[in-house]
Amino acid sequence: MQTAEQTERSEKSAFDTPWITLVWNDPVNLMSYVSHVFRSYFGFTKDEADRRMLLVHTEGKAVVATGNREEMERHVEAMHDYGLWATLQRSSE
Amino acid sequence: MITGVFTPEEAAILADLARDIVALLDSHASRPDDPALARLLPDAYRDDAEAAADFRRFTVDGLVERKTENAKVVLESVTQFPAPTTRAPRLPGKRTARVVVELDDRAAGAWMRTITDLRLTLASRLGIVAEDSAPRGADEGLLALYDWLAFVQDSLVRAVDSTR
Repeated sequence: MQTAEQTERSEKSAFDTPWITLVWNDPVNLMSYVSHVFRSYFGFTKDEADRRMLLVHTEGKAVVATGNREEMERHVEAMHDYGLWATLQRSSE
Repeated sequence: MITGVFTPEEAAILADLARDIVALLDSHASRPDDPALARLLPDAYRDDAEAAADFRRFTVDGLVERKTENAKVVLESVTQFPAPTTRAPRLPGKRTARVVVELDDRAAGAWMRTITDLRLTLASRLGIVAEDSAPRGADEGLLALYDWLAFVQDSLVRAVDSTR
């Protein structure tokens, strides 16, 4: 059985762990389009958008945002609007 | 404004594709195992089926509606002109008809999203799962269409980027 102190600590950790939005590579989407989406939607500079697009391309995925769960869900929904595949998860996963 | 120029045949193809995807999206509820729809309406959580199902329940209708509206924008853009007739003879030296579409920011955005959705759907039908190429025996016509749409998409993205 956990002490109250332990419980409080673990609740704090769960609360503090931010969520992340990941964009996944797929064989269809053009690099120019992915970069364009990153610039348009997230407001990245061209260099930053290209960097993350290349990460998606070479690593299979890239983190495009961090924050609370609801924010990340909105970003995922927006990415799906654009035809990119995105998911959200806790950053510690 | 972005200007796009197509042959009447290309415009007709885009119109057919747009209609097809509107029909596909309209049927999404009755086609839970369609791989194209799975890619158009993907899961938001990779390792949490319950969270993914919850998210889907709240968002899929909105996503389907927006994708459908985007496809209709494309359809409207290319069908404002009379359809090409196969009876019309091609006279030597005669200028070929062109379909010219003018797109504002909103329409350009709809086109980019729709062309992406079309390519995702075609890729699914073609069995494209890896970066390199389509599997051997893939439908040549669909593949040509898929490649042509990549060209259209790339042109559009570059045109939009050049206005920023």
